[in-house]
Amino acid sequence: MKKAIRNLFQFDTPYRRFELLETESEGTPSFFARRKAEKAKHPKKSGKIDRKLKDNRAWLTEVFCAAINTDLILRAIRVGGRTDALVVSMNGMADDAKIADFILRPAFHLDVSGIPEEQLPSYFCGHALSMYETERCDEREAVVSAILEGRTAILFEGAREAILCDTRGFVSRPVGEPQNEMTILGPKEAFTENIRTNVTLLRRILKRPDFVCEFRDAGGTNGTKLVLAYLEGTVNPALLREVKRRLDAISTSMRLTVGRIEQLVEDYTYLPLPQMLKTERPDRAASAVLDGRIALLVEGCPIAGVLPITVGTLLMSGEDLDMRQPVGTIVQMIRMLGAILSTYLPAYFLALALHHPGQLSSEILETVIASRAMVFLPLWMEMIFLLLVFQLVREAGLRVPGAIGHAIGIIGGLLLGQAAVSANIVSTVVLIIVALTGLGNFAIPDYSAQIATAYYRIVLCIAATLAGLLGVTAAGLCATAVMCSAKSFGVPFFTPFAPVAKHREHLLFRTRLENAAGTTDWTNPKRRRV
Amino acid sequence: MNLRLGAFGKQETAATVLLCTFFGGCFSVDCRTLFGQGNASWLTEIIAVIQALLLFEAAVWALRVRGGSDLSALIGDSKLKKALAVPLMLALVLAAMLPLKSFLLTMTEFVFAGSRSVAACLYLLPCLFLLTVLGAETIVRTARIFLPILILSILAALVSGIGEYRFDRIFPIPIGNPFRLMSEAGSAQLRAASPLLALLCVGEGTQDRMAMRSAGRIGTIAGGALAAAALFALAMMFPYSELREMSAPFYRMLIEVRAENPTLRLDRAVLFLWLAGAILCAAFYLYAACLLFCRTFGVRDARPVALCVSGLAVTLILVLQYDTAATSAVRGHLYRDAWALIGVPVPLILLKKRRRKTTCAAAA
Repeated sequence: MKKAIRNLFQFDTPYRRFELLETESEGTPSFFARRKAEKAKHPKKSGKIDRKLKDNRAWLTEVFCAAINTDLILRAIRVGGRTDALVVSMNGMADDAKIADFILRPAFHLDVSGIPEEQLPSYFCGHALSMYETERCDEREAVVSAILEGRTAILFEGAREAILCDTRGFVSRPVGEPQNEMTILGPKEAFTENIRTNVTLLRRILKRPDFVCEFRDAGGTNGTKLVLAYLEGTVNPALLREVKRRLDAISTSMRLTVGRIEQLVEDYTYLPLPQMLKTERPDRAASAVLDGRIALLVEGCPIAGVLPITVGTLLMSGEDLDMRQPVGTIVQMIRMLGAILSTYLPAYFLALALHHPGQLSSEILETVIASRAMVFLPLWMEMIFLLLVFQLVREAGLRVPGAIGHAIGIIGGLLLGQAAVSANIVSTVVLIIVALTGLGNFAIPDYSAQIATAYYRIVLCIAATLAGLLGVTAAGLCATAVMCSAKSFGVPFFTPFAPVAKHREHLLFRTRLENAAGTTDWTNPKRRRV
Repeated sequence: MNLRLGAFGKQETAATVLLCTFFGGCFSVDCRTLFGQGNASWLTEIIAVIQALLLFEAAVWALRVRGGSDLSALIGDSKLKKALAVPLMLALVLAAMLPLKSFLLTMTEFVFAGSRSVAACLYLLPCLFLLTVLGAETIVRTARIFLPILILSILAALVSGIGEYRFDRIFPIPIGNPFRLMSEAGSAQLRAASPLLALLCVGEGTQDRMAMRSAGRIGTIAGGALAAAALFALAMMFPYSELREMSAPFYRMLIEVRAENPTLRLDRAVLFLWLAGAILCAAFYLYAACLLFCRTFGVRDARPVALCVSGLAVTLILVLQYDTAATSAVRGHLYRDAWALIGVPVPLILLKKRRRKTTCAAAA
């Protein structure tokens, strides 16, 4: 009570709540609170392995913060009862049974009398370790990376080398069915989060000696691994060089996935269309590799990135070539129609209804007027509102797991639509237009392209509202020009139509399959299809 | 250097030249002059295209002899020739402006009746500016993408009007006076030769002089043939006495077709599709003018110049929309005498100054 009265009447420093200020260590932020991008600082873990085991132990304890980080297991042993050694692994990442059976047990029974300390690692490798994949190294950085990957490092007293043993034994998801790229005729395997499994999935399809999977560090402090998969001797060397150059420039502390890497290496940041195909299907990635393109696999990401791509790549599905030529042509044409409808139909309808009603026949005009008799929203607002609701239902359906997600789609589509019509918020004609647009949108196989189309659709609707067909023409022309100017890793987006390439993608008309060696020529690969 | 020229292939270049020739031939015309004496517009177009091709061949030959890849190589460092480049730039800006002016007139008269030209220009200017800034590579690629659908729409418009065509309407054809035909074709050089002039300006982007030549030939011949066919169809649709009073003959043709097929109301969609084609052609001309300016006067960034030429073109369109005595006179001169902006400077640029043979002794 006394304290409360004192607080009320006394000008005192108020109690300061804990607040974490982002500028505590950097001073006052600038007017727009922008900072220059900083290069990620790597902790000091480079250098050579020390001869003294005690120093090595101290170094590992410091790097891994072993005092508080209980995951790191530092097991001191005496090899053959004579030489001290240290077995280091990460708990949960390495298989305990493998370490016990194939490292510790032979180490205790190995006779190392007469072996100089410097030669102990090589002697141990040759006489004690009954493991298939072992490696000797003298770099501290390699040891740290190996331990983080789940391998086990063995360091010896008096030796400047460590042995790295493959004891990885962490739990990972088994190969399952694709969730977003379902096919009827195609294979039913999908990538997983395990990069080794993903490489194996690709290797099972591409049984060629020139198929190369180049393991690289994805850059940044996280030590994420990525794989560049391509056909050596087929892929354009300039393209490969450029991809590697861009990947080398990545330096970030965030977790890397295919989508994030795409944004870090792409040319056109503000282009809504993706510049890398993201697929969860190994067969699709393998087909791209056979065409002379590069597949990108990232550790912990069940998606492969394929680059470079064109508009045609985004409009094709994995099983298009599995269908017969006439059927495939019809499917392709329907898909193109769907893409065009989903982009232009709402804007075209708005333009006609608002600015050029004379272009609609009297029957259609009467239907539109009758359906909108009680609707209080203006037509353009009604259209944009419904398009946004459609996106909302779709996003909600995607994020909600399993059967509930499907149920939300149905509830959103049927109940919400019906209720909106009954409440005179929207008219039936606009509902039909939006439904057709949504169907057309789902005909586009690539998810990123679907989202990009939604963006263009809204822009075109605004343009149509403002200036009718003039607005649609202006916005459509600008959008097409921007897409024409864009390139995915040096390949223009509208290849092979503009610029023209010899290889014609089966975009509108599926041509018959031919017995042809070589690959597509729009990436200018070494071995072209003739 | 930020000239944004890029590199493009033969097919894309030919597509752009084709569109420019077609839109120039059909939408840069003054009906009162063209159909003043009879219905020879299609014949004039063919002759004009042949004349333009001859000029183009001469320019390519000069490039081959002097070892250059575009017009700026022919202009060189001579101050006189640099001065001659100015009318060429003006010709390109005018060539960009004329079809757009025609479309603007159609829009304000038939589509957005009662609206002001300034409002419509607000939508044209960003498009022109964006395309010009993105550069020749983007323009020609966009033209290649639009070409099939534009050709399809033009052919569909021509074919769907077959029921309305009457062969007797093409008469009278003033072929009795070939000199007059030739001079009329000469007067049409602003629209016929501008595509090839623009191509010569961006010649380096075609990567090869021979590729430029063949793309120019193919595009001009195909575009000229299409324009001549469209003008011929127009001549069969309306008698010349009606045509010379019309402001937007091709749109009127579309309306006639629509009147015959009330269920197929696509006239405005087709009109705006053609407008997209005209914007693309205008952007090509404007970029060529911009590049010629940059190369001639040593400007290293094309973007400010692109903004200026786009603004200039739109301003000219707006000014010439007004019906005053002065603008009418300027319009008349534009259609009759603007050929001189190309017809005079280009031969002068092609002429090579003979160097005097001087010996060391004489010089001493």
